[in-house]
Amino acid sequence: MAILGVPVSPSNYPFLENEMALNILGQSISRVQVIDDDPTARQAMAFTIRDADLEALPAEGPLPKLSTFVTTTKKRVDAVVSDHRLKKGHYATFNGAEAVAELYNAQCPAVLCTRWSTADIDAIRQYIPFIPSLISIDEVNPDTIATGFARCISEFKSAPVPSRKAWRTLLRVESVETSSKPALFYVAISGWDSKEIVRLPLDLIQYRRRRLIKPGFRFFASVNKGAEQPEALFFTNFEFPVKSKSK
Amino acid sequence: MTDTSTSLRFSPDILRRLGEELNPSLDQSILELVKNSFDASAKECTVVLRNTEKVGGTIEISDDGDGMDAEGIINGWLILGRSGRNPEQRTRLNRVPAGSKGLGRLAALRLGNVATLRSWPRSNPQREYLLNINWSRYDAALVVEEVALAVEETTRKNGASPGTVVTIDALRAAVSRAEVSRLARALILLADPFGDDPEGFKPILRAAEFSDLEKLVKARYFEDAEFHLAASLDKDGAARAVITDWKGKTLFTAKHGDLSSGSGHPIYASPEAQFDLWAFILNKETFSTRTSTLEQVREWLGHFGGVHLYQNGLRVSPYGNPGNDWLDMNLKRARSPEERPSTNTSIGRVSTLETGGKLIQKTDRSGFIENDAFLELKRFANDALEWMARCRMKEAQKRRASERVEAPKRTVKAKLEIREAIERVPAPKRRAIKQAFDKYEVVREKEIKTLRKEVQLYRTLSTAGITAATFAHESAGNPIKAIDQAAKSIERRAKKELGDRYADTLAEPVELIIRSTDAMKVLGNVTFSLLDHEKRRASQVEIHQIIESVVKTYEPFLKERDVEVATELANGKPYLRGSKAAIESIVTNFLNNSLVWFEKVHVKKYKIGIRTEVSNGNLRIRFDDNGPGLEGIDPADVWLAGETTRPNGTGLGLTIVHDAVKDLGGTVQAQAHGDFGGACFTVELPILGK
Repeated sequence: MAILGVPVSPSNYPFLENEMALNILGQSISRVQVIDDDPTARQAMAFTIRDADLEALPAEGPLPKLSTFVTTTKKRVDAVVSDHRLKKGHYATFNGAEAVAELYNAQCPAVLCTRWSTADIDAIRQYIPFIPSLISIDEVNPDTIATGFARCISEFKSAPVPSRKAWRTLLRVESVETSSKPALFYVAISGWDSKEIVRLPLDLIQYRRRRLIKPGFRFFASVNKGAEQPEALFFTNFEFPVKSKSK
Repeated sequence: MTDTSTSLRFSPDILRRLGEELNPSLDQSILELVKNSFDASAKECTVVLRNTEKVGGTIEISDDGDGMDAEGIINGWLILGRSGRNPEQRTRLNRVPAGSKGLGRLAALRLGNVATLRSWPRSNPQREYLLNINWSRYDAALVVEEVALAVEETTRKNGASPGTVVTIDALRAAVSRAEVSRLARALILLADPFGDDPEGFKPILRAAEFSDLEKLVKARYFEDAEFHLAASLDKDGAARAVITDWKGKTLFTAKHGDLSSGSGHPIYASPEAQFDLWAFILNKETFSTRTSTLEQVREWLGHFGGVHLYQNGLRVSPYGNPGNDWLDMNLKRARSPEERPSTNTSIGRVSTLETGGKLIQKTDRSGFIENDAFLELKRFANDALEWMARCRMKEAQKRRASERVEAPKRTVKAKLEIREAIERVPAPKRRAIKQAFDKYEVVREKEIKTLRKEVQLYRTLSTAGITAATFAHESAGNPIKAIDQAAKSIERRAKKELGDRYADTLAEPVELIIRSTDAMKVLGNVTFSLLDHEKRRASQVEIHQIIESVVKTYEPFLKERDVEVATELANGKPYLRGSKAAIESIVTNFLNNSLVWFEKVHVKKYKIGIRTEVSNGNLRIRFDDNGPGLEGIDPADVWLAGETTRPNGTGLGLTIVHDAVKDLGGTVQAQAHGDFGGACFTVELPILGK
């Protein structure tokens, strides 16, 4: 069992106490909002949350716009568990990754559950810096949910865990696929797994810089090289070489 | 007390650096002087090259513009680095000034050792103003300010019209033929020769290269273009477009929402623009109905093809120059050749009317600064091209559909003609030819039938695949997830409530639900995994890794069916270059095949064996099972599409294996009964290493 490649065990989070409510680093969690566009799936997730001795509050749709949703949710509950895909039947105008990232920025612990498919990861990638707890659907249980909240609070209150710490890293573009939807590019990451080429959506790069992304092109970005799985990697602070003019 | 007031002074070196280094090519430097004539409301500007094939020659640029008096020369023409023109102001002929900063002018003037300016202002064309710059005086000076220049004012001896003549004497270098050609092309294209403005600006070069090209550009083969795309962008950033055919008939029209890419169809944050593109189909069939010849158009496009960019009536280099494909037309055509123009098969222009200073040219005249306005202009042109490609694809699809209807009719007609021809053959030979043709028809019919069957099967399977993917997505996302979580919740709660009694009462059915859910997840995962775009990408593929991954994905499914897969893989990590999808489809189809046939036999334990062995640069993969083996079918025929002995079987699984192996340069063989008693398939793949 793991969250973003870090094994879940009480020894990782000794501060995790569970007596009808979770107390994590002095922050109490008892009411948890469940976000999913499928009522059955919401109910099932509520079972799991109740098994963690927490109060589960499934959110009926349609949800308000994201900013309103974040403000009201933060007032009503202590934490959130959200599926990634939320747009079926006009349930929400945003997806789970956007919601969890906004909640993170509002210092509200939130866990994102996804099938961990490559398509989902492409859509989630730009939000991963703000999603400390990304759990595969197959790994959802009371322990991973609780540990997920703990990771968020730990990041709010102290430094990120090593697997989430970003380092300035050299990237080399291996190939580019503009015919795919979304357009993709593949990078080798220096100081990470030398055999693994990581696939990234091209819209991660600022529009005006995209023309630079060609095989062999090198540039810097902040990358959490401690991540064990490619899905958990995030990329921010892109730096592109400045074209020098010969004298 | 010593006077210590001073000012910045410049070494003459700065003139060389500014002029020559920022405008490194002869054609771009001369163009800057020609643009001065445009700004002076000239209708004609003539460039004459005299003895320029060697060092010491002369270049003369003359125009019929408004000329300058001493004030204009001193406070305008001689000031370098300042744009003395306000783009909001128009010239006498209502032109938006090109707004040159004078650095190109400096470069042009320094092409020779001496530069002379003669100007007759429109306000008083009988006065002549003369300025002479001898660059050797600067070379000898310590600072630029040391060299005094004087504008002489005299009464004109000849002529009465206003205008300006700049003469550059004693050229420091010879002008090569290639430079003359480039200059000729740049001058011809400068003032949009594709437009039809009699009041327009006309640059002329007195050189053979120019007259040849001029003839060519005047040829204007636009009417012979197969399609004309005309897209416009209004001042609010909304676009519209129309495509007409060579007869001028409107084929397609688009509103902003049809053109603008991106969610919500954002407006284009760019100045007003018009994009015209004439796309040609360069084949003899098309040109048989045209007035021009294929060769003429090909030559014309060879010189002027591509999309040129005009700002306020003047061309901006290098967009549309040879080798400059700023809209990536050639790259897009290479990726998807059908119905897309290239810079060799089309000609076009993007014209913008821009006075707001949003589009800014780089100082070295190497195009626009790539700011948001420019990128948005590019997005507009690219979106228009994409829309055109989509329209043409639809058109091609219609054409193909109509061909499918017409082709059988043509075949029947052709057959009748052959039959009639056979009837005209002398009797002794007629019978033999008739028999041979009958035989040919039977064979051909059989071939067509097989192909139709294969196409139908692929369509059916594709539909099945798309449907499976949709359901896999829905079921894995919701019902399976809900069953899984609910069952696990029952497990946790029951353990807590019942304690030791759980094992005797609920453990078995709950575990069965969880196990069955896992098996259902596999169905979805396999479908998703096969659809992954990345797997179809050619890359270095480790074969063992794929085998292990497919077997792992199938694990719950196999467990449910009591099937044991024994893998015995050779040492090392053999790899080849290909797609993961190809290897995956080989392994998946063999596994599917075995699983289907296991339903026909009853054995104690179902077994599948996957063994690999490396020899002579090949990886041999052997798939065995203890199913019924290949019965009722020749092992050589199992690869044929549609050949199956299983009711409702598609007969395509092994055909796909066969095609995938062939694509990877390998071979595959089938045996009716192998080591495990059931069917045995041996695949040999050439590998790059292990």
